[in-house]
Amino acid sequence: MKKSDVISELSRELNLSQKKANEVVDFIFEKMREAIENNNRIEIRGFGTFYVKSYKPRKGRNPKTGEIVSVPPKRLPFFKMGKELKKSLIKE
Amino acid sequence: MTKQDLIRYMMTELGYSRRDSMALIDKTFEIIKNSLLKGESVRITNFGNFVVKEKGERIGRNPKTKEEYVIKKRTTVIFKPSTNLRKELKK
Repeated sequence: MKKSDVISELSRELNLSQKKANEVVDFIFEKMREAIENNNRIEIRGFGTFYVKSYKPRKGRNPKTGEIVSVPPKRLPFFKMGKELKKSLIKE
Repeated sequence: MTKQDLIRYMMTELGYSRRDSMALIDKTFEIIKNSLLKGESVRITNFGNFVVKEKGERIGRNPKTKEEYVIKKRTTVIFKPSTNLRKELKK
């Protein structure tokens, strides 16, 4: 399923124009993206949480050549399923 | 950020009522959730993909008591951030 499928289904189920549904879905993920970029945790009950981990710069090695390379600092977002989603997945 | 914050943003920035904002947000996540429950991954451009993954059985260990136990086969959802989000977080 891709974003356009989510939009179509939202439009159909809530009787909303395709254009409005598109605006809503884009808005939700834009806000979530902003939160992640600002290092904020996101909690959506029943669905899950997103959090950002920071990694310090470090010296790494190219596993093939053994060459030492410096790995720049980075941040990565993670998702943890909510209890409800987890339970339903296990049941299926 | 919680769902309540999202609802508030939607009311002030898109002009929906509280009730409609809540319905729209709940429905959106419900649609995604239902797809995941069917085992179908969901791809959101410019955000990331929610991938359903089957994880096999393995031996786990309680790090405190060192006790070993079997972690059963299970299904989980992994979030893979989109390339442009990943890039943004590298800055």
